[in-house]
Amino acid sequence: MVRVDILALRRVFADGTSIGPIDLSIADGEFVTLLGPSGAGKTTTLRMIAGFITPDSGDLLFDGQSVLSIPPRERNIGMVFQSTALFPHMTVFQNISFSLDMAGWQHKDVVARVEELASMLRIKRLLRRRVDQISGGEAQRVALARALARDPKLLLLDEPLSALDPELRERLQVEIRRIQRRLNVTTIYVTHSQEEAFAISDRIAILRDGIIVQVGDPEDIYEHPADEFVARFLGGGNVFRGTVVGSSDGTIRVSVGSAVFSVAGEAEEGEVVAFSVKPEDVVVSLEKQDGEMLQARVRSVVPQLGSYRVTLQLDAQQVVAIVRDSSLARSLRSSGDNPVWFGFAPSDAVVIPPSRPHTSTC
Amino acid sequence: MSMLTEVGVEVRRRSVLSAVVIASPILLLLIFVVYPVTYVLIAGLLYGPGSTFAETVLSPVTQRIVAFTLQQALLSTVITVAVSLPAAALLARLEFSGKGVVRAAMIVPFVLPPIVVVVGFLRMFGPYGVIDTVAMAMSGSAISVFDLSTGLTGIILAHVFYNIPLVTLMVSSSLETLPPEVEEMAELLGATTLQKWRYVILPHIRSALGASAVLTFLFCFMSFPIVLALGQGRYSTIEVQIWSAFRYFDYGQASALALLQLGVTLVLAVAYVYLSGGVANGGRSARIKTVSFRELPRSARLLVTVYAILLLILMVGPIASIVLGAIYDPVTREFSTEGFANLLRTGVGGGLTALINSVVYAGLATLSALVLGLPLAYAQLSERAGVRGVATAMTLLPLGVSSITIAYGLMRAIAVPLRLSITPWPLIVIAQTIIGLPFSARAIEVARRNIDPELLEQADILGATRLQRLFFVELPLLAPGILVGGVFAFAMAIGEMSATLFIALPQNYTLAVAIYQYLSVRKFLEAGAAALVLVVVCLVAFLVMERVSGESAGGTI
Repeated sequence: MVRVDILALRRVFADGTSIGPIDLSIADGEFVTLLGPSGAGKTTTLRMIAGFITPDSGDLLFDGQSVLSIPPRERNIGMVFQSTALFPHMTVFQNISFSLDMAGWQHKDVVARVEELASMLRIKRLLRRRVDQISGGEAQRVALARALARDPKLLLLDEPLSALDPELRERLQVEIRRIQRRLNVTTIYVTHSQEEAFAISDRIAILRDGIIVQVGDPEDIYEHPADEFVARFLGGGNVFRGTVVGSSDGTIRVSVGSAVFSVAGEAEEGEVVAFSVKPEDVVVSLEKQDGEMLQARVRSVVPQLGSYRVTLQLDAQQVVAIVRDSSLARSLRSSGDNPVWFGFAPSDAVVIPPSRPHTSTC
Repeated sequence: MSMLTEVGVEVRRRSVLSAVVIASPILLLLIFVVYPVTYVLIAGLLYGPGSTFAETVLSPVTQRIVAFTLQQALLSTVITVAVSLPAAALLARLEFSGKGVVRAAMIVPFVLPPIVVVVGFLRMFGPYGVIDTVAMAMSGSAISVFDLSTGLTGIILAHVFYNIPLVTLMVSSSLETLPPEVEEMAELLGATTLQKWRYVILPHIRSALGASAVLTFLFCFMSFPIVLALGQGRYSTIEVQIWSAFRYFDYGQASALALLQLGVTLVLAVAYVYLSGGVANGGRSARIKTVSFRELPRSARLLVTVYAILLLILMVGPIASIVLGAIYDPVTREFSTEGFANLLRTGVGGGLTALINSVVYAGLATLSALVLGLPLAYAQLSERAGVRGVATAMTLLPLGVSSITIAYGLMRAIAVPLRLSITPWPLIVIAQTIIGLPFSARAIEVARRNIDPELLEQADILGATRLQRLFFVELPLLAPGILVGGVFAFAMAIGEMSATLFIALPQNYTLAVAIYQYLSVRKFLEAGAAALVLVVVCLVAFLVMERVSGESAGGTI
C-alpha cells in the first residue's frame, strides 16, 4: 500500500526527554514492530507518524513524499489504541462507519462496506449493539474494523492486545496477521512484549531511550542481540558481565562474581565484557559431568510446553536453563538446598558489545 | 429475661433511636416547608382574599409577567451557555499558570449574595460607574453616557455573571473525562474540527451541558434580588409579583402565581435530575489533551486574549468595584468613609442593628442547618432505598421551591398561629436554615461517603461501642465536611435577601436587606460599605472551604 521512510525524526519535550533521531524504512506491505520497555518512545514514534506530535527535525515520507505538513485526517492512516477509543455514544455499526460518514459516502455503500468488514472480523452479530455491551476482545475487533474502513494505506497498532487475557491475545495476534496479509496493508505495531513481537512481525525494531538500537527479523535479533541491553531485554538469554582474567587460543576466561567461565572470543585481560548463553545451551545435572561445570542452587522449576524452565541461583546471578528430561526436572525440584551442576560449551557463549549508557530518563 | 431477648430489645431500642434521629429533620422540613407551602397554595386559592386563580391566569398583567420571566430566563441561559462554552473548553484544554486558582475562584460567585452582585454591577457597569467614568472622560461628557447595569440588560448580565461558573465547571469537568484517544481517533478517521465537535465532543458533553443549562434556567427563573434591584420596578418576574401581591394582601394572586411557579420549577428539577444522571462520572481522563498558549496559532492567541479580558471585566470587575463603591459616592462624586461610619450607627437607617441581626440570624441558621444536615446526610446514605429517596428529595426541596414561596408559606401558615407576626425573627432563622440546609447536608454527605468503611469496621473490631465509634472515629473524620457545610450554610444565610425581606419588620433587617433599602433611596455609600462587609465574609468563607476541602482531599485531616 505504502512505503514508509522515517528519516532522523526527532523531538525534544519540555520536560527534557527526547525521542530520536529515528531512522527506519518500512517496505510496502511489511509488518514492522516497535519493541521496547515502557518509556522507550514507541508510542511517541507512532504518534509522530500519525501526526499527533510534530517532530522538531527530520522527515517522514510516504512513498517518497513528505507528509509532515499533512494533518492526521488526510494521511489516510488507520489506528488502533490499547484503550480502543471507541466512540461511547455510538453503536458498533456507527463506530465502524464513522470515517465513511465523515467522507460523505452514500448510505448503501456504507452499509455494504461495514458488513464486509464485520464479516471479515467476525463481528456481524454485534453491529446493532452499543459499545458498552461488547467484551474487550470484541471491542478490539470493532476498533480494527473501524481503522480499516477507509482502506488505509498504513495501519498503526498501539499495544492493541495488552489489556486482553493471554489466550485471547494469541488468537487475535493470528487474526491481525491474517487480515494484514490479506489486505497487504503496511503495518507498524507497538508492543512491550517480545513474545508478541516475535509471533507477529516481519521485522522488529528495538527501541531504548528514544533510539532504535537494533532492527532485524525475529530470528536474527534472537540469535545476534546487538548489545547487552537487547540481550537482557529479550530475556531469552542469560546475560553475564564480568572481568577477563585470562585468554588463550580464541577463548577467554571471564570472572563473574566467584565463578569463572570460558567463553569463545578475544579480549584483553582486565577488560569488562558481557556475554550471553541461550537457555537451551545450558546443561544441568545432579552430578558433575565432563567439561567445565559450576555449582549453583535451584531456585525454581516451571513446566512449559515440552520442557521445563529451570532457574538456578549463582551468587547474585540467575541462570536459566531448559531441561527436557522430566525425571531430572523432578529431582532438581526436590534438590532443596543441595547444589547442582551446570555448564555450557565455550562456543555457545556469545560476547556482546556493551550497551550505550542511559542518556535520558523517559 | 433471656440474653437473646435483651439483645433484641437493645437492637430495637437503637433502631428506634436512629429512626427518630433520621426522621427529625425530615419531620421539620415537612412542618416548615411542605405544610406551609401546601397550606398557602390551597388557602390562597380557595379563600383568597384577592383574585381567583382564573382571574390571575387570565389577566394580561400575569401573562406579561410570566412571559417576561420565561423570556429573561431563556435569554440568560442561552447567553450564559454561549459565553461559558469557550471558557469550559479553555479550562479543560489550555495549559496556563494559575489554572488551579481560577478553577477554585470559580466558586466565589456561588457564595456571593445576589444583592452584593447588584451593588457591584451598578458600580462597574452602571451610571457613573467604572466603565462610565472612563467613557465620560473619553467623550468629554459631564453626564453619564454608559449604563449596562439596569433594565433587561442589567438583569441578564447579572444572571450571566452568576451562572458562568456553574456551566463552565460542569462542562469543563465533563470535557476532561473524554479520553484524548477518542478525539485523536476522530481526527484520524477524517473528521474536520467542526465534525469532531459535532459528532464526538458535543454528544459527550451533552448531559453536562443540558444539566447545567437547566440549572441556570431554574436559578434565573426564580431570581429575586437581581430582578427587583436592577429591574428598578419596571420589570417584574413571577417571584417579584408573588412578593408584591402579598404586600397588597392579594393572597389569591400570590398563591396562583406560586402554584404556576412551583409547577415549572418541579418540571425543571426533574429534568435536571434526569440529565445529571447522564453526566459521565468516570473521573478525569488519565491524560487530558491539553495545549499550551504558545502552541496556539497567532489568531487563536489573539481571540483567547480578547475573550479572557472580556470575561475578566465581567467576572472580576463587579467584585472589585464593590471596594470602590464603599468609599466613592457617585451622587456627590466624592470619596468618603461615611458608609463605614454608618455601619457603626444604631437607630433608624443605621447599619449596626442590621450587622448584628445578620450575624445572629446567620449564626443560628448555620447551627440548625448543621444539626439537621447531619442526620439528613446519613439518611441519604441509608441502605433502604425508600429512606434514601425521601431524604434526597427533602434535601433538594428547598432548591426547587423558591425562597419567596417558602417565606410566603411561613408568614401565613406559621407566623399567624404562633403569633410571630410582630416578632418574626425566628421565621427568618427558619427560612435561612431551610436555604442553607441543602448545602450543609450535601457537604456532610460527601465527607461521609469518602470515609473508608474499613476504618469504621476496624473501630467495631477493636471494641468501640456505637457511640464511641461516632465520637472518636466518625465525627473527627467528618469534621472537615461539617466545617465546609457550616461555612457554606453561613454564607448562604448571611447573604439571603428574598425570604428575609419578605418576613422582616424594620427592626429585623439584615445587611442584605439593608443594602436593598439603601439602594432604593440612593444611599450608595452605605450600600457599598455593607456590601463590602458581605464580600469579605464570603471571601473568608471561600478561603476556609478551599483550604479545608483541599486538605481533606489530601487526606491529612
